[in-house]
Amino acid sequence: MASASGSGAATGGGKVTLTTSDAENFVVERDVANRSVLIRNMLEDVGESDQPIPLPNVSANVLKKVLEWCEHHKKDPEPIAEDLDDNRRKTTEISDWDAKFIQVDQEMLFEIILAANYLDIKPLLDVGCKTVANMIKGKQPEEIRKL
Amino acid sequence: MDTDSDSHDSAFSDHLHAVRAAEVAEDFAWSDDNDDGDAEHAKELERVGVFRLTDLPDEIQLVVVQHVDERDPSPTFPRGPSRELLNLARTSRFFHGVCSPLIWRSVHYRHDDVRNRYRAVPVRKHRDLATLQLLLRWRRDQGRPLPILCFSVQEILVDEYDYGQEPEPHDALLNAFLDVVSILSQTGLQVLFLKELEIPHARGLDLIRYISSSPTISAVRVNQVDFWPRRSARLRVEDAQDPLPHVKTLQIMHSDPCFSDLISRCPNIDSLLLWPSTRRLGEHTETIKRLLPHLRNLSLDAVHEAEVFRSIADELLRLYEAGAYLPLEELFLEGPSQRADLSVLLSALSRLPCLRRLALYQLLDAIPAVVAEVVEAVPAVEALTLVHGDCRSAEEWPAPIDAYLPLLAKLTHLRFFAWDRRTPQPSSPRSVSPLLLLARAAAVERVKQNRLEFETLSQLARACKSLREGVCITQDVSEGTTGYFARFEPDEKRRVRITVNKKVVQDFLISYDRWIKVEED
Repeated sequence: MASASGSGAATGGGKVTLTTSDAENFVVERDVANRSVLIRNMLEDVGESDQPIPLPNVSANVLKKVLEWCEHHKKDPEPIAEDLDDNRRKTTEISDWDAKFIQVDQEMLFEIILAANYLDIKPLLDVGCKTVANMIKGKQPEEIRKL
Repeated sequence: MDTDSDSHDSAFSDHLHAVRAAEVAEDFAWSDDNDDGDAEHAKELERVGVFRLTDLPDEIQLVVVQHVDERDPSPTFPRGPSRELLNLARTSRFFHGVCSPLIWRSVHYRHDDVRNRYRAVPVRKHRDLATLQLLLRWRRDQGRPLPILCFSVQEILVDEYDYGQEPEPHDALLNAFLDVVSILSQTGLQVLFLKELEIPHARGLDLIRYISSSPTISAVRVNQVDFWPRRSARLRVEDAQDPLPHVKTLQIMHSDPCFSDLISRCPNIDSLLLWPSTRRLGEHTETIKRLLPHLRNLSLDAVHEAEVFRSIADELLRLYEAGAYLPLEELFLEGPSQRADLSVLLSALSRLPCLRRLALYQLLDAIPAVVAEVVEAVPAVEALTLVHGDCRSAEEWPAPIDAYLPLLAKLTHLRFFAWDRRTPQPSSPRSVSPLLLLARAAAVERVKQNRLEFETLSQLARACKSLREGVCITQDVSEGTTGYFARFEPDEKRRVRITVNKKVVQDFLISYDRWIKVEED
């Protein structure tokens, strides 16, 4: 799992440092960080470097949650593009772990969705959007407007 | 309008409301006059800085909408919108705009729906085809046609009439139906499904004319669409003989022969299903042969001309020898054939590089040697249906299951397998009295058979490691297939979880793949 660090960049041994919008540093395993296509591309672009990766659109409390998800799913196989699209269409089912993970207040839920979108973590974005879709289902228009 | 399920049963009224919401009342959703409480609530949330659904970027809201719309498009009959989508469309101008194309994408109308009979007259009127007709005209006149891509209609029948008398058509209903098809055919309709319709002959030709004149219709399915009075000599639509290059899917089932004329006019068909009420393909055999270089899906159901399958097999072999590319991916053949012809057919199938789904009905002699021949001919097949008999009921195949499993195990890509093999019950001495046996016989036999079929499906799963779905067919009549349907789901430890349900599916049993895909913009 990630460890928060108040000091500057501290990488090595397959670790990556991520800096949040509120200037907090998270040192995480590369496997975990690679769940984000954005971070993976940045790491590939910069090559071997100790420089922390700035994430100006994500705050520390949101990144902590996102990294919790990435840690749990770090060994998941990469979905094939077609499968991803197919799954999106087919189901609003969410795995038990993800359902528990996403049991947060609405503001945090939306922040996680925004972070997943920014960091390009499609499976997490899907979990968030499915959760919102499930919140909409079974509600009358007046109730949906209050979301 | 849409009456396929409870969740859809007031879809047309809701269609109407959804349209009125944004177009007639001009965004009533956010109007303070209409909803003071909600507006107050929204202001309050804004004041305290709460993150709201509408604060999410548009592209994310679009993903959310996709998840709200979780309809599984029916391979057999399109359905209307989900209630959730309709409710969401009523919340704001943005969601109305996003949801509208999804709501209107597929419209299903069933005329004589029992549930509709007891509804109030205004409600029934909202569900009427005449209302849809008015809406379509209104939108067309505004230059903003409704984005209906898929339209299905079921059960427009003439009134009961005495023998010898001309039947009375539902004039208003029929006119509305034809006008709707006429408008839709010129405003982007892609898929037209018609089932159980009785139409006067002249109006039937109008219907074919509308289909023919459409620049967008790409899939047509007609099932039990009859023109009356029946004529001994077939009339043709004289002013509609041009080719129909847009039509890619054509399914004609037990319908007026006039529809069959469409086959030869559609040079680009890649999916063809014919279920002739006469049990004969006759002159269309030659047309089918000409289409083979294009066809991806071919289904010939209940054909009682053994020579047709042989003729198609010969043509496949000829095309192969000539070096033609044969794109056939799915083949469904139901009809008796001679053993020698079956061998020629299988030889032809072995030349099809893309064939992945195969259904052979009425094998009549499903001995292991025949199954071995099939396996050898189509080693890369992913879905296979083998039916020994005529499918009125499951049959005891000529050999025990152990004779077939090693053969099927050779199909290493097989994900779906169905057969009509009834698992024989072991004979056991009867220890109960005949009277008791009579009273409980049916129930006891059912339970025993369930266990036997479960065991059979388990054996199948153990033999064919790639298998994900298996079916023991007990009956296949009309469009309904009854059987024991199993799903095989391997878990993380490579154990296979088997779920078996006895059910009826309203589809051709060849695979769960979709016949028709609506092209999205």
